[in-house]
Amino acid sequence: MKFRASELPLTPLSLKDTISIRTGDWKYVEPFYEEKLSPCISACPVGTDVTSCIALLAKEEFQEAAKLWKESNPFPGVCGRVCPRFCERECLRQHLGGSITIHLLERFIGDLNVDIQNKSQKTGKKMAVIGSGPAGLSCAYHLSRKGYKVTLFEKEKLLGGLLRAIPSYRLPPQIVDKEIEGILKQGIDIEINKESGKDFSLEELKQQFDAICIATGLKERKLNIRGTELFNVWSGREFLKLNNDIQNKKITVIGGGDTAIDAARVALRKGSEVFVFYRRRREDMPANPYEVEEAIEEGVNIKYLSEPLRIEKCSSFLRLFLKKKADENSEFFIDTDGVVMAVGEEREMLNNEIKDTFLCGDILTQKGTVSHAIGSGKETASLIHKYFFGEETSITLPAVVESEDLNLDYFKEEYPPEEKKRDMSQRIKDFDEIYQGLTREEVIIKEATRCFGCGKCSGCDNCYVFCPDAAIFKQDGKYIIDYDHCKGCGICMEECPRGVISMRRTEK
Amino acid sequence: MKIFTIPEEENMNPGHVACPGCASALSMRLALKALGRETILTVPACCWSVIDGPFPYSSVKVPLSHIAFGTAAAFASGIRAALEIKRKKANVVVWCGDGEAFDIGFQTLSGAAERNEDIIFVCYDNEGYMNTGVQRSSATPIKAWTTTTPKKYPKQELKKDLMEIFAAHKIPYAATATVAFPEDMIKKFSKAKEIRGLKLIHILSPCPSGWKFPENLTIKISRLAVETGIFPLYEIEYGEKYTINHTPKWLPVEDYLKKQGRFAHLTKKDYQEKKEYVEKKWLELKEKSNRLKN
Ligand SMILES: Cc1cc2nc3c(=O)[nH]c(=O)nc-3n(C[C@H](O)[C@H](O)[C@H](O)COP(=O)(O)OP(=O)(O)OC[C@H]3O[C@@H](n4cnc5c(N)ncnc54)[C@H](O)[C@@H]3O)c2cc1C
Ligand code: SF4
Repeated sequence: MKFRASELPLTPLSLKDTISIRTGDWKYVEPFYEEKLSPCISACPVGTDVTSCIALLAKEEFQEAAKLWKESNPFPGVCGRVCPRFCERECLRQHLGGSITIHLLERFIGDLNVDIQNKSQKTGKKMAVIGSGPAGLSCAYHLSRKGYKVTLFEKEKLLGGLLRAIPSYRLPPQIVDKEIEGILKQGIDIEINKESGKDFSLEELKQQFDAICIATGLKERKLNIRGTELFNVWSGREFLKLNNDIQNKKITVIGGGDTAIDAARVALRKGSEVFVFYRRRREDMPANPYEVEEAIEEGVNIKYLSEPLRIEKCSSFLRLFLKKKADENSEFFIDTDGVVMAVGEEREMLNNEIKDTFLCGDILTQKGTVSHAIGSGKETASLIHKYFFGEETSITLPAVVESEDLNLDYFKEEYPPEEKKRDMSQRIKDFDEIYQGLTREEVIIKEATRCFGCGKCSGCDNCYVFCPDAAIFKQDGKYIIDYDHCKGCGICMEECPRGVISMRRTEK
Repeated sequence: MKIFTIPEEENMNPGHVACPGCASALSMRLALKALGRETILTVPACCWSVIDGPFPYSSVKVPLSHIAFGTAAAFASGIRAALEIKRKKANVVVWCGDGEAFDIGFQTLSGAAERNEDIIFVCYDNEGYMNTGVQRSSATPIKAWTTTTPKKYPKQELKKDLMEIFAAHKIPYAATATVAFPEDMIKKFSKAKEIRGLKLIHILSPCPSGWKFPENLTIKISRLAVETGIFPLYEIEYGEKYTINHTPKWLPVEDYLKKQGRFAHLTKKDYQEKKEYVEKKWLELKEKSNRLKN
């Protein structure tokens, strides 16, 4: 094409916009929205959507928060009190003021006592669950919420399994009662005082049910030393069940787990002097570190690296012989009125060759915590559902947010509230609960609003605001990336406070 | 939960050809949101001569004139005169780099300020001649590397204090702004729009290619410039009334300097000197802001 000079404008004029210039072709990496799993959720053995629940609490939508929580975990009141808080160890708030006290929020949610309805469609399948510990109850709960007709068999007369062994100063029994009641309301039949292997056999059960889930927990391990058969020598669980008074006695506990520490603190509350002997070091104790600390505070004497050898009966007392670990010539003894052997649990040999039989809880995982038992019950329920109906229950898990993914510039340093705790001099005299939880105000104003909401888009607009290329726009409350013009600078990824935006290589 | 609320109106199109992560492109986007379509831009030789788009394209939805280096304020004065003759209203805006404002167009700017021309003079300051290959300008900070101030002989002179120079011209409004504080920037443009006379807006515009930092860190660097006290956000009215808009968090100056390759050769002593200089400037600013309250 040729122009004559007179046909050209005096000054060159650009009349076209740049939309046709595909600056997006420059890039080799590109951003994309990818909501991620917060570390608290990923650490939770039950997989509860902690982040969404906290967001609901912050908005004062308490009922909704409780319902969402109970969709995965029917025991918030219990777990809020006794779970070892795996979530809090991973919480990214620890880099800016301290982890969210998730357990206190969970406890608050539990204490709201919100019931959730079972709106499931009947599947027509009948399930038997044996054992009503947290695992069996959780499995029964989730199965019944998937539409199964569930019957729960328990050899004791009280439901709850080892939840009933946890002393009331840590877990008041009313909390357990209340939450079990909520579970049974899903429509579960119960058969108490029915022991499998004694009152019925698995084969018999198989005749009446489509499948069986075994959640009978672990048995206490026996100590293989002389004298364990003596009077006033108990296992941990036996001791915790005792109702008698043991005022002004001297009680010796062997072990370093939850049971040992609980036995020691119970003995202390009953008015005894208490010694605990543990065979390894303090940092090796499987018991919750803060509970060990509290026990020591309360006056429990703990000796480490000490192995029991034998118990002998002397006139009116017992003599427990021990030795220092890895030192054969260090035998010593302690005179005591009673010995509690809380040396852990072991799995019972089990005949689970029977078809359509599943396991869950401690008997399967041996993890030894309430939340693992609940998580396992939930998982097994999904597994059973998949077994019968082939429904895909697990989708590929999203990535977990790491601290580098967050942009902490957008958050202030803020500290968790201090939970009220009963005074030492008071609490060792009775069995009332030590911790008092948070008030409504503390929950909403302090804790819930402190949560970053890791990995979840809060609609903060930062990606839209900071795009130098006007390549992010909003549509129906969502952010859309215009890949024809996005140059892949990564500013949106960097400025997203919550790590929702990731970068990937472009396909070329 | 929004952190920043900015006008939804978009007066700049994608497809402009700024480097990825360019703060001057974002500055334009934000500025036009505040200024609106009734705006006429004047762009002397600077990065934006390129960024706006190759002929026959333009990325902004308002008229923009590409003009010769050194003439921006004079050209804009002419546009204002023409508008007045035609009895038309518009925001007359100069959009230029530090090369124009601090060095080559300094004379026309000073003249326009003395005549108090009714224009908004915006300098997006990337502290050097970036699109010609990162040469030093009088806006380049002391000790910085550029291709004309190599590491062995980094820049020895202090950055020219543009704000103070124009405070001395007693112009009605002068303000600093930067991209990490978008609401503050938008507020300043909106305010400038309403004032008659010469308005100077000095934008710190982090440049990934010239300052040598990864392009995703533009906003971070901009924020650090403010939070370390290196680039305070403030306004001066009629050369007298100083208002500080944001109190820095006083993060260590190293946080800002260490993120940029152009300062990679700095020593502990340099950091210390920088810190002292920043503190001294802040005290001066503080003192001025206390001088005339309301
Ligand atoms: C003193 C103590 C303190 C603890 N403290 C904590 C703590 O603070 N935090 C924490 O997370 N965990 C704690 N634990 C551990 C936790 O209680 C267990 O890991 C959890 O209860 C295991 O759940 P489960 O359902 O698998 O088994 P269990 O709770 O053991 O439940 C098994 C149930 O099956 C029943 N059963 C057994 N055999 C049969 C049969 N043949 N027929 C019918 N029913 C049968 C039992 O009676 C029981 O009800 C503590 C445990 C103890 C003992
Ligand atoms: S800040 Fe909130 S979302 Fe992130 S890990 Fe902690 S509790 Fe979970």
